[in-house]
Amino acid sequence: MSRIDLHEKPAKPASRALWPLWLALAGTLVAAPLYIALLDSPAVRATGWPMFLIAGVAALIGFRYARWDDRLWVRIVGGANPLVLAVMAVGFFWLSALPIPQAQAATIQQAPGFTLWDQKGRSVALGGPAARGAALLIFYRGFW
Amino acid sequence: MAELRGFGAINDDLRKLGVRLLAISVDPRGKQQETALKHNLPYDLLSDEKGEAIRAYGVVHKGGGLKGEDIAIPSYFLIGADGRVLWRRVAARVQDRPDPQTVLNAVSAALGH
Repeated sequence: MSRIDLHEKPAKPASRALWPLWLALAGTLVAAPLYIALLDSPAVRATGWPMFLIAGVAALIGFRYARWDDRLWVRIVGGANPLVLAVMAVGFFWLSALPIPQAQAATIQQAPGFTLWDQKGRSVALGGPAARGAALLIFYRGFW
Repeated sequence: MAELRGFGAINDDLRKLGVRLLAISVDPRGKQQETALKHNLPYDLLSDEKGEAIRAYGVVHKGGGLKGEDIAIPSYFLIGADGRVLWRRVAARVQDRPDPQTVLNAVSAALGH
């Protein structure tokens, strides 16, 4: 009768092929630049789905190496993938939150008037007696 | 400035609805001149360096700029010819931007077309 050794590790290849690891690393590195490149698409911009899809698959592959490979450097390189994914997720879902606007953003019924300069040095007035026609105001962050 | 480029594409449609598109930020006029040229924007950019309009509309992001200056929370206000606010939208996240086509539809609906 053979004794079962509970401490025996399951049989596994000492070194598995590395190309999936390199592929995962490439995916992780390319995910964020890809998001920037696709910013013109509002759907991509709002959800970041191509970035999270690629980085997510890369993180899964990386995790397998980090968990089960024998070589320390392979475990480190593998583990870097889910780490990068975590950093991207924190930035995307948490750090990106904007402050709640002041009350008048929701309550103003009559558009506050203002006079500002446009990019060509012309004065543009909105509201008051100078107003004519409808206008769509886009407030943007700027400083790019 | 993906957002501003996107709105350039619906500028003509907005004009047909009698709506003038105006983009406002705290950038100085020189910076806006650069932005308008670089992205070939068909509408005007207004420089609100002192933040007057941004405060009046209640969309101040305190210390949101790169150097901690006050900037605008990305937002939209449709002003009717009578000066009333007919439609508005304020972003909750930095990457939260509507599709310009969706905005065009909302504007069209708010104007009763």
